[in-house]
Order: sequence, then C-alpha cells, then structure tokens
Amino acid sequence: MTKAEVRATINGRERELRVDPWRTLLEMLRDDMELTGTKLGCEAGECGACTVLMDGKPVVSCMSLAADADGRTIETIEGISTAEHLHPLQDEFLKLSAFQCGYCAPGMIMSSKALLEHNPHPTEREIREAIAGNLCRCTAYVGIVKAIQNVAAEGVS
Amino acid sequence: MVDTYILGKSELNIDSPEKISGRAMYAIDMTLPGMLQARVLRSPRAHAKILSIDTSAAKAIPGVLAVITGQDLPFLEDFPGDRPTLALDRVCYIGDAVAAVAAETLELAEQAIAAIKVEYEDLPAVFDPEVAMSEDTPVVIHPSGKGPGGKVMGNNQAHWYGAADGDLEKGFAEADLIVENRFTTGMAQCAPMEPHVALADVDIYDNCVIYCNTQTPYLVKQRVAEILKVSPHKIRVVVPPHIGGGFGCKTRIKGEGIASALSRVARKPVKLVYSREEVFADTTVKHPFVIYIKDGVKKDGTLVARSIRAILDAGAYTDGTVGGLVTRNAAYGAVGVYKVPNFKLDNFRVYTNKPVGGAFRGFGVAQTTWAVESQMDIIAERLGMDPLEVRLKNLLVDGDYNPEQYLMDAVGSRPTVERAAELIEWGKPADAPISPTAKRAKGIAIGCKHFSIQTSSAAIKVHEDGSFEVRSSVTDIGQGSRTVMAQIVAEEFKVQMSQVRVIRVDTDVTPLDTGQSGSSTTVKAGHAVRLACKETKRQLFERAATLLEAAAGDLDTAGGRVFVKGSPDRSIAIQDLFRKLPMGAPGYEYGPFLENSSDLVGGAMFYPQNERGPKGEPLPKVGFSYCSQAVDLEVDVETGRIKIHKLVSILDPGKPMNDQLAIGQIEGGVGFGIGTGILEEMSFRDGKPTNANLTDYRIPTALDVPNVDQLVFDQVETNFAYGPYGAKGIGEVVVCATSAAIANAIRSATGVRVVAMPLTQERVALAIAEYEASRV
Repeated sequence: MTKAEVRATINGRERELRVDPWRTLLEMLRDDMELTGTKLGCEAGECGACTVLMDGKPVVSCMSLAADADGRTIETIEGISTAEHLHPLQDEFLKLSAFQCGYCAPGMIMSSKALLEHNPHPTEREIREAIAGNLCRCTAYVGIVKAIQNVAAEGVS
Repeated sequence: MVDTYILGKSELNIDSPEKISGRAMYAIDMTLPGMLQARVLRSPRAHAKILSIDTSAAKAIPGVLAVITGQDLPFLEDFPGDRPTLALDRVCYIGDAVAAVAAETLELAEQAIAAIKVEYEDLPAVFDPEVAMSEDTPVVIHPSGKGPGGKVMGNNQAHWYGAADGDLEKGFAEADLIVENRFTTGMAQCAPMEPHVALADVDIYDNCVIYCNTQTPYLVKQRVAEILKVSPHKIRVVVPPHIGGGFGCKTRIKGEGIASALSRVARKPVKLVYSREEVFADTTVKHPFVIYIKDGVKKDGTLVARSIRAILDAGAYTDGTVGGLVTRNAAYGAVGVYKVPNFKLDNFRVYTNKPVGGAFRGFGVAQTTWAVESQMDIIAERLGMDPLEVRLKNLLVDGDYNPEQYLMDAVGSRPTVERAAELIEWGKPADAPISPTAKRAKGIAIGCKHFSIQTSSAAIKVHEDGSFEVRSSVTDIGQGSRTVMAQIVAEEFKVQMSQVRVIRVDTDVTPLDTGQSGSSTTVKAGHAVRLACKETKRQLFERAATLLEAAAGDLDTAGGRVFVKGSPDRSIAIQDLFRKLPMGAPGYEYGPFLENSSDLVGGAMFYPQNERGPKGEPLPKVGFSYCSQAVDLEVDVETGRIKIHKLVSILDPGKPMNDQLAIGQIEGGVGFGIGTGILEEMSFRDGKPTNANLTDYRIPTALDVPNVDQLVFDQVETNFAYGPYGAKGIGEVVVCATSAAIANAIRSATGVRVVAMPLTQERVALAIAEYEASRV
C-alpha cells in the first residue's frame, strides 16, 4: 500500500511524515508523533477531546485524515506554551481551576484559542457556541466560560 | 473553618498545571514496547445460546497473537456469581462479551474479530422489569435471589432490600389524605470523557502488571488474580495519577481481566481501549427505576405513613456487590429528610436483557429522591399548602431516629433548603416568561444522600530532605482527592503544599483501600491520611526525643522542624534525623541513611465500626450530606423546551476541606443533574441500543446549561464530628435534587406533572399536549 506523504508545520516545526492513507490526524499526532496531549474520546467527532487547530481553525482530528494535513499548519496543546510561559488561556484556566478530570482540557483550550483569535471580544453566547463541540462531563462549563471571558476582557497577548 | 493552617482554603488543585499543559498522563496515553492491541467480540443477540464458536480463522491471521473465549476463563464473580468474564454458553444482552483477540495492530485485531464465527440459537428475551418479575415473563434469565424471610423470590428477582418502622396500616388509617403515585427513571450512562483502558503485561512467571483507569485498584487486583488463577501477590495494578472521569462506571473490574488473559496467552503487553459504543453498552449504567409511592398525611401536612415499592432494572447481570448495594442504598434516598412514623420500603432488583446496572453517581438515591421530592410537591398541592412549608414541617432533626433507625446527626436539610429558598426568592412569583409560548415558575427540592464510611489505609513517607510522600490507593477521577490528601499532610506537619507529594496508585507500594465510590473518599482517605500522619509524627518524635533530650510527648512539628512545645528554640530539622555518612565512608555520596531502619514511613488504617439502632441492631456506617436546589424556569408549551433562568444549589459539606474543590462538585453536580434530569436516556429497540454514542445520547454541552450568572452556589456548614476535620462526603448528593426541582417548576408553570424522568423535550411536550387535550 502506498503511503501518503505529509509535509506540515506542526507546532511551529516543518515535519515530513509518511502515513497510511486511512490514518487519522489524531492517530498520526498521538501514535506517530507521541503528542498525547490531544485526547481520544469517541473517534466519531462527537466529544471534541481531539480538537487541534488546522490553519488556525479548530478541527476534530479523529475525523480528519492525516493526509489532509499536507501543506497545512497544525497546532496542538503542546505547541501553545513553553516550559516558562503559558498561553494566557492556560493561565486563566489554571487560576480558576476550571477543569476537574482535565481530559477535555486540551481540546477545550484549542477551541477557545481559535475563538479569541477570530473574535477577541465574544459574548457569552458566542463563547458557548464556540465550545459546544467540546464536551466536559465534570464541570457544567462554569469555570471554563469564566476563564475565556476573563482572557477576552484582558485581551490576548 | 477556623484554626486551620491550610485545610478549608481554596488551595489550587495540584494536578491542574499538568492538565492545562497537555502533559498530564492518562491510562490511554500509556504504551509499552511490543504492545499488542485488543478488541472484543460482542453479542448481537439480546438472549441466545451459544452453539459453537470457531476461532480458527482468526488465529490463522499472521500478527494475531491471542484469541480467547469464555472457555479459557471459566470464572464467575461472586455476589451472586451470574457474570462470566467472557460468555460461557449463553449471551444475555446485546454487547455481552463473547471472545477477545490481541494483535500487532488495531486493524489486525478488528480483522480477527470479524473472522470469529459464532452460531447462536435465540432464546426469548425480556426488557421490561415489571414483566420480567411477573408470572408472565417470557423467560427466566438467572436464578432468583432471596427476599423477605430468606425465601427465594419470584421470576428474575435478583436482589431485595426492605425496611419498616411503626405500623403502616395504622398510619394510613390515621391519615386525612392518601396520595399514591408511580414514578419512573431512565437508563443513563456515566459517559466519562476518557474511555475505559487496560494495559496488561504478564511475564513468563505470570507476574501481571496492569495500567488502568479504575476507581477500585485493589478490587481489580483481586479479580484479575481469580481470573488468571494466580495468587494476588502476582498482580500489580498501577493507575496513572490522572483519570478522565469516572462517576461510577469505572468501579470494579471492566476490561482488565480480558486484557490480562490475552497478555498471558501472547506473553506480550496488551492494551484494551473501549470504544465509545462499548463504554455505553458494556460498562455499567444507571439502573432505571419504577417507584410506587403511597403517602398518608394529616390535613396540616404532617406525614403519618409512607410506603415505597421500587423496582430496579438490573439489566442482564450483576456487577459484583454493586447490585445488592444499589438495591440497599437506594433506600437512603427515602429516609434521610423526613420524619415518617409509619414506614415500609421494598426494593427489588430485576434482571432484563439489557446492559448491566451498576454504580452511577447518585447510586440509586438520585432515583428515589426524584420520586420523593416530586411527591412532596403533590402532597402540598393536594392540601393547598406551600411546597416549602410541607417540607419544613416534616424534617428530621438532630437526635431523631430516621425510618431505618439511624440516629440523625449534622442534619443539613433545613439550612440548605432555607438558603435555596432565600436565593430563588421563594414566595415571590416568577417574572414573565421571555417567550410568548412559554410559561414560567419556580420549583424546589431537597437532596440528601448518604456517604459510605468505608475502610482505607494510607502511609506517609518522610524523605531525607524533610519532605513528605503520601501513599494512598484512592484514585482521583477529577474531584481533587489528591489535593485534599496533600492538604491534610500539609496541615498536620504545618508545611507548604510544595513539601508534599502524592504518588500515583500502585498496589506494590500504596496500601489497601476499598475504592473510590459512594462519596466515601474524603471521609475514609481523610481519616486514613490523618492517622498515618499521627503515626509518622510518633516515629519522628521518638527519633527526635533523644537528640532534643525531651520526652516524645512534649514534641511538636512545624515548617520541617521538630521542637519542644513551649521552647521552640530547642528544635531539630527533620532532615537531621537522617544520618549523613562522613565523607570517605563507604556509600557517603549516596545520601543519608536512617538509623536502624530503611524508611521513615508511618502507616495507618481507618476502620469504621457499624452503627447500632435503638434496639442494638447493626447498621452500615454512613453519614448524610444535603444539597437543596431551587430553579426558576420557563417551559415552552408547544415544544416542551425548558429554559432555566436561575438555578440555586446549596450544599452542606460538613466543613469543606477545600472551598474551590467543593464548589467544583456543586458545579459538576448541576451539570450532571441537568443532563440526567432533562437530556439523557439510553434507548433500545428489542434490546438493541439506539443511541450508544455521544451525538444521539446527549450529555450537556455549554449551550445546554445556564449562563454563569444564572447559577448560584453556596455552602452551609454543619457540625459533623465523625468526619475528618468535620468534612462530609459530597460527590453525589449534588446530583440528587435537580430533576425534581425542575419537574416541580414545570408543574407550577403549566399544571402538568411529569412522572417520568428524564424530562426530555419530547416527553414534556407530549405531557402538556395530553393535559391540554384532557381539559377541553
């Protein structure tokens, strides 16, 4: 079986990978690149735990083919902070203890990041719409929405 | 909380930094070199004999290294021993595990599953528990258990629990009004975001290491030992510190036995990750209930008699002791709030050919609360009284014996419901609805759930730098128990949180515990850690006493030093209790040793004694926590859609260990309460699940819960002397009242009493349409 060539910028670095054409972006990230921050929850695009940014837009990586990442820019949770500096969203989620089990956190943070980059001053309704595809079973979204509101109020650096 | 160093404060969850960075390791992230992937073949039949299983084609596929069936694992779990690890000669529901394979890749494992040929012969099936327990049942799935008087019960009746007090007939005779109703609840799934994972590695000596995301590590250890027929000392269960939710469905053994058995055949590590569909079909679900409740009341609203008959839909099997426990513990939802002098309760758990009922946040109490708290409003309405007034009139108070003969203590019903009423402005009519086709009103309900007071043990190791390591086998499914354990150690030794590390659960290192269930963790692990600190201090003080020339009893510790009480200048650093070898001595560069020992570890066990009723009868040791809720909502009379304008949830946590984490439980409880109250219900057609995925089975999204300023949370403290530092267990009580509060508001708004939960849009719309039609 011919492998698909994927040339993509992943978390700021040019990468070249050869993947089976049926392989999902989630499998490529988690299994081939060991970027396990992106989570698997349903393999059907229902829960949003696997959300990553493709050219700045949130996609559920379990429903995207790895081959479709060719020529694109992919950002995962591992790419938005350094050992010294957290993304402002991460800072705020941390401060509010917005998550409990934390399994939805990486996907939720990526969806929120895309939202604020596209719409820096969203209404609460717009925030809720933006994260409606990211299921959290622990929190009723209280701290999550508040954290996004706080970051929006301060402006994303 | 007064006079504490660190407890009761909103200490940051110690796991949050890992979780927000994507670094947090979950079981699903674990891999081992040479690891195989497992898949399970599941029954497409609701009830059938297995005539034959042919695995030869599957075994012949290159890269498939293990194929097992029930014949390889002839193990039945005890209590009551109805469930094999893999089906033996019969399947009892759609999703029942029949065979399992391990292969080099997931694709190969799926090919192998497809290559297994199973011949079935259909048997009659039954899906309605009331039919299943009747004389007319088309089939008896398993032998019945024992009921009242120790007699074997009728068809398909697995478990029974009964309680009685006073004289029921006399009570009903004295009543001015009899109110009888039938309530039902739907089947729900815990739906944790991380599916069930088991990565097992069995070596050539049958030593088995299992990495998994269980809520009950020591139970997995025991059961896997039984399944593999090896001594438990060969089984090591390791739980990565982070678990992606549990809520009950990760208690007891799930995929761990199958993964271990496959690994023993292949002698390679085997990873089994449940698909979302498997999480729905083959982990345990919330028991659907049918609840018949009959009350006798006086004109002034005084309850004089209550009888309850609840039928629990067990599904096809029993999840070990959980079946009997849910049957028993559901009773707590009927006895913790109100005085009822004449009382009778009978709970029956009944087999059907559906997924297995097990532990689910609320543990039966959420279901009985739904019925009781709907019923209290119906009584109020029939008597023309205010629903809050009827409730307040009948409350149990400290010092009362409840209908099960528990001596009530630290009762939080009145302060929580009064605070909820105050914050929802009870008595003031709701504002006008926003939608022209909607009606708006308020509703209120009291939640009360027992928390199990169970056995646990813990150990504290003092490191040579004076820092502390906590060893406990309580897993943290997100609620923050690791943080609370660290806070207790920080409190006891008066040190910063950064001086305390909680290691991951590993049954080779962390001591015996009875599992993360029944809202038990705070109390049992809290006490175990507290007692372990006490023992550790004893050892520390004994070592320091000689050096400080003081009696051990005169010593205390703070900030990493042991000192003589009253003379803080007579002190020694904890690290100086370890002996540094002189430079040049053999081994001097490896770090300090501990004189006459290997480790400074203080361990302790917490073992609660049973309670006794007034006549000396033994009762399981439990406490009661309370969470009252009030809601202001509008319901669209055409579509049945519910819009919550305000939801108030008031918790009695005893004394909270960590304010922020306690509020987190209230928040999550509201999400869970709304989900199971109005959105979530597993549905079936002839036993086949029709919504076993997260699109068709809708847990709340951010759009399904009220806005942040529409949710109002508060806590009122009670004095629970038995709890560690006064704390109660709170993880489940927060889900119990929501559905009844919503149903009560719908009734006030529309005149329609919905008796089936969840209050889905369709169900509410139909009920309103029927009601309107009946009025024409």
